Amino acid sequence: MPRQLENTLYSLSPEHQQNVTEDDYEVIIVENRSSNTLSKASIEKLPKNFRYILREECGVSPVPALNQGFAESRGETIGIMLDGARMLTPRVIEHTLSCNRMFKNPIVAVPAYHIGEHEHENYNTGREKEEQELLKAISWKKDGYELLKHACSSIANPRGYFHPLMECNALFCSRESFKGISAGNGVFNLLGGGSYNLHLYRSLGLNTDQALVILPGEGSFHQFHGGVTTSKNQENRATLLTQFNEQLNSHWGGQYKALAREPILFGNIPEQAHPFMQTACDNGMKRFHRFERFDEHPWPDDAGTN
Amino acid sequence: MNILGQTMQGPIKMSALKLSVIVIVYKMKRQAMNTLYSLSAEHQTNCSQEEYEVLIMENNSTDNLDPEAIASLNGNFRYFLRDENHPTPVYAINHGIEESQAKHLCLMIDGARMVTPGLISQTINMISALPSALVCAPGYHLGKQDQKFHLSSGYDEKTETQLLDELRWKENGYALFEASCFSGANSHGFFHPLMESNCMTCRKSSLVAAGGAHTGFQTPGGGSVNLDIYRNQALLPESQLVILAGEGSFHQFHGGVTTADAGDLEDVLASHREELKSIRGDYYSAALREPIIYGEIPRAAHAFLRESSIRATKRYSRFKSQKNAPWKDDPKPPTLLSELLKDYE
Repeated sequence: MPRQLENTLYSLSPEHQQNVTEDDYEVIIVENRSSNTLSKASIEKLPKNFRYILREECGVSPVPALNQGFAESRGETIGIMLDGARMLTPRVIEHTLSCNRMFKNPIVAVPAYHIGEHEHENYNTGREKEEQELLKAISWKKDGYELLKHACSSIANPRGYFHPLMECNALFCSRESFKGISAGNGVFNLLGGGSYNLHLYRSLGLNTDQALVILPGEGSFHQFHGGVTTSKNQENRATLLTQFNEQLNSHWGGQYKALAREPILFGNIPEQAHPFMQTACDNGMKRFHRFERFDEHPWPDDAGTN
Repeated sequence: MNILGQTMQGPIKMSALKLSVIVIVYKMKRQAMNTLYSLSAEHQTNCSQEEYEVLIMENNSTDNLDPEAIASLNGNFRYFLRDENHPTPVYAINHGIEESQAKHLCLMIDGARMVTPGLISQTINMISALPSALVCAPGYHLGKQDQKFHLSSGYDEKTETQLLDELRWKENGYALFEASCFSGANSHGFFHPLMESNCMTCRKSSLVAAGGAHTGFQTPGGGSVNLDIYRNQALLPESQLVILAGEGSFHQFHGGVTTADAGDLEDVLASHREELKSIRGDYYSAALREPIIYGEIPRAAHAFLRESSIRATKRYSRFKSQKNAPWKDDPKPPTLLSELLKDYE
């Protein structure tokens, strides 16, 4: 995914990330060798705080690559982006650094969006081309928040951040926390890691002594590529998703469910993020009413609610 | 001058102290005792009472607080009964600043405002992470409408006492959101520029550097002194404005300047505007700084977050159509996070 990756890397660069410098963070790109890796020219142009690792790997899961990236990383906090096709808004790094000063070992989650008006289930080259044109037209490199105007909530959080998120594609936690959940769990050996990302979010979030923070004004934006959830073959996709679910459920003994903890919100809310905030509030209020009617706690995974 | 001022619950551990809350009180016993209870360690969550002190500054009147009632609260409360008869609180504020012992001050110029249970812990978290932050809780009025209209609508202290009993707010501090409306300081929600904050925290050093409360504000209640303090702090380039979106300060009905019989309210407010102009050389305008929000949003506060967000969308589109910058007072270029922190590392 070199095209998508280059956008993602630009979005992570000090040029795009506001109020921070290259001394504040590092970015480690870990790629398994294929016929279509990041070009030499692109690697040479990477900012000083970026490192590129090309791996020989015969497995289909990115979990070993994640573990290698983790071993190479130096920060006390790590950010995990398991899908390199996701661009970030400009204050993700700054706000995550602030959260680290506010809480001990916080888990910081960035809401996920898909570029375009629809979920990225039906991949085709026409739609990828449309996306490329859109990205050119909206000058997102000048104002990273413009992406919000041309995106929809991802299937991981379709009702917004006052509902439990299923997973997070730009997730930050401490080294200690990541080690505490056995880092990248090798069980998740299926294509794309299968449901590893869902496993990761719930596992980390169940540490209720660690604050769960959501950055409602920021986002990670999925671009079209031939990944698992945007794959063109619908039949294959359904089979794969079944396998993913089976693996996840077998690992969690049938007890897997989305993490239901009340989030702490942090950050500025740019103009473009407000419509999503309004939808999140509407859906959140409906959810709260429903839980109240059934006399159930809306955040059963919070400490002290069981 | 009759000053008690001792901590009424024993000595303070200075090493742990992070925040001094200054509450100005005058002839509002019922309301102030609710406010002080809301600030007590019994009501505040996720913090230890060693982390903050509460200074109560009261000018002597025929209706003073009962020191024993204050002493019975959990927390580091210091009560200052001041022999002073000026109608302005500016001297009491400056006295509070002088007596405060922490590096950060939370100024509550109107003792009739109760706060929600996460206020202290969230404020402390924020100033620990970003010491130059200006941390504000949005203001609300108890009742369905701004209290300046209450007398004409039959809302009085009795109605309010009953309302507070029904809400059982001491058991659930966030229940206050269920029976309140935005106050005038942020009547369009908290994504619009605040006019002021009645519960604002900043560095003591920067408040002192700004001269504390300007003693030129001599009108009863201090006129626009709180707006003046807020604006001065908000305009400092290093002041990151932080709004505690899930917390609030809730105004109770009392004979204060803006909630007393409002027949001549417009004249009173005009005198405030003129006084500020005579001191600062210009009429007041709100500081246009983009806020960061921080906090958990309790169930009852969602409607206010939603309303604030809707209003923000309208404001942004208005500014865009007029080609105006929505946050023109933000520093340009913005300050690096590492710059903001370098004096505190």
